[in-house]
Amino acid sequence: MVGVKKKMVTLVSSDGVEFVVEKRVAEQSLFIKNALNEGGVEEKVMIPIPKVTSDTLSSVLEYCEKHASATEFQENEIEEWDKEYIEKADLDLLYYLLQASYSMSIMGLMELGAKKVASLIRGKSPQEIRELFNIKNDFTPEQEEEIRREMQWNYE
Amino acid sequence: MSRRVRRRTNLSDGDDKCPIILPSVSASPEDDAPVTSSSVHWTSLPDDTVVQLFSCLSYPDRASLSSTCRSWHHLSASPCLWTSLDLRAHRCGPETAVALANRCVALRRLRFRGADSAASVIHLHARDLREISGDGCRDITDATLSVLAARHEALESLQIGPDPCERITSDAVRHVALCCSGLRRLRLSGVREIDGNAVNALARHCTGLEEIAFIDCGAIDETALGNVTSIRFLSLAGTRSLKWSSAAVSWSKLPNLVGLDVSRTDASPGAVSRLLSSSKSLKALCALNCAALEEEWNHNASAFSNKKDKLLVALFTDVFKGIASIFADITASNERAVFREWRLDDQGQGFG
Repeated sequence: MVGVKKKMVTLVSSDGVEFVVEKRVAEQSLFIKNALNEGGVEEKVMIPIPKVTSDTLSSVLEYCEKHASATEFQENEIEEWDKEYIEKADLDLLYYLLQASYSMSIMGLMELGAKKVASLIRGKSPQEIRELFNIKNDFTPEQEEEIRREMQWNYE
Repeated sequence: MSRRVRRRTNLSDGDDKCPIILPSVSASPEDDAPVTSSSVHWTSLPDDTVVQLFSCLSYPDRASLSSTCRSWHHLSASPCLWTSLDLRAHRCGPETAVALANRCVALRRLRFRGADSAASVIHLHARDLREISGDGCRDITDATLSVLAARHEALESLQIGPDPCERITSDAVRHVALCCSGLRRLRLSGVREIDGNAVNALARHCTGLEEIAFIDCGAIDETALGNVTSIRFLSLAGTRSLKWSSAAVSWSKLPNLVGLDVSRTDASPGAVSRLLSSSKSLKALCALNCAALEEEWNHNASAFSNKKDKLLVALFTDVFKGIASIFADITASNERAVFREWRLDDQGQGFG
């Protein structure tokens, strides 16, 4: 094997779009890394990524590509890049990135996404959070009162 | 960019004749995979992801998030989110502790402020607590400290300070020794007296005790401290009325003593010289603001020079250089940053 030739793998999104990427990029995902190790296949590897659509996968791979080359950059450059990357994701994409990073086991992306979502929650009331994420309040009035008492200490 | 994309339906088999380069993240949505906000159900996120989200939030924000719906309320009580609890910014009365109890089953580390909070901590029923750190506990009593020890027998670290605990006596210290045999670190500030019985109880029952700090205390039985053979770090900073000659004799026999802090005391030049020359294990002796030592050094600049490989940190030594010499990876050019490095290191351990 000549060192110059890059090993490629093909990832297939849930909606059937194929992404041909370098192996080292794909291996940012522990899920893929393990799949490749188990398979022991050299060429023409096709890996289906269930539940991740092409839009999301494209964004995920952008992250993986940057982080596969992380050693070429200063630490603060990567941080800066991460910040811009997650900043441009809208709420829906954030949701899909969280889902995808979990199912593909990309810890860094999971953390980055969670931190971004946390920053959106900070300082908001329960009702404001429900509106933001379109969450249905499924507590009974009694439960709600109980929780209010349970959480009271936070405000003392 | 080496990413190539094609629609599976457009090509018959596995070759890449018509690669489409994806322009960016915001590529237009695929027709057959409509992405609309209606398909996003935040509550269907994996549990682990939600727990991670909670872990990024302060307690009040966690409370708000967990008050939104049942499933997230349930996840907000995950034990891994409640291994350490810092209540210093909150008033922790008994009701608070009771409200928190069902989350604190796996609690390992707790920080709080005030003697009232100390008295309420037992209502957390956190039997597996390993670390307790309380400040602002000026009024903490023997009874409270004894109950804290009795209810948390797995304690490894107990720190009450820096406010002086003037109502604490040797009785409570002995009680701590009897209850918490796994204790590795004990730091108390401003106790008026800790007698030989209490210190010997620590020596006998807490055989893994590595760190003792009796800071700004009154009378401490310095000879009994020589019996706590497990001790590696000893601080008596600011502690008054120690008998330095007997202290030097008994502490220099401590087989594991690595670091000793006698700052802000009336430590005598003779005692310090003796510790530096006869302790086999001692690596660093900190003696900042010790008037007697400074006076001795003014008269005789070589007074403490026979210290072999030991580090003396005092106002008349180069503190930055001295401390930097402990760290292999700090060079002369950045030795002034040593405290910053130290701080960063400390933060890595989570609880400072």
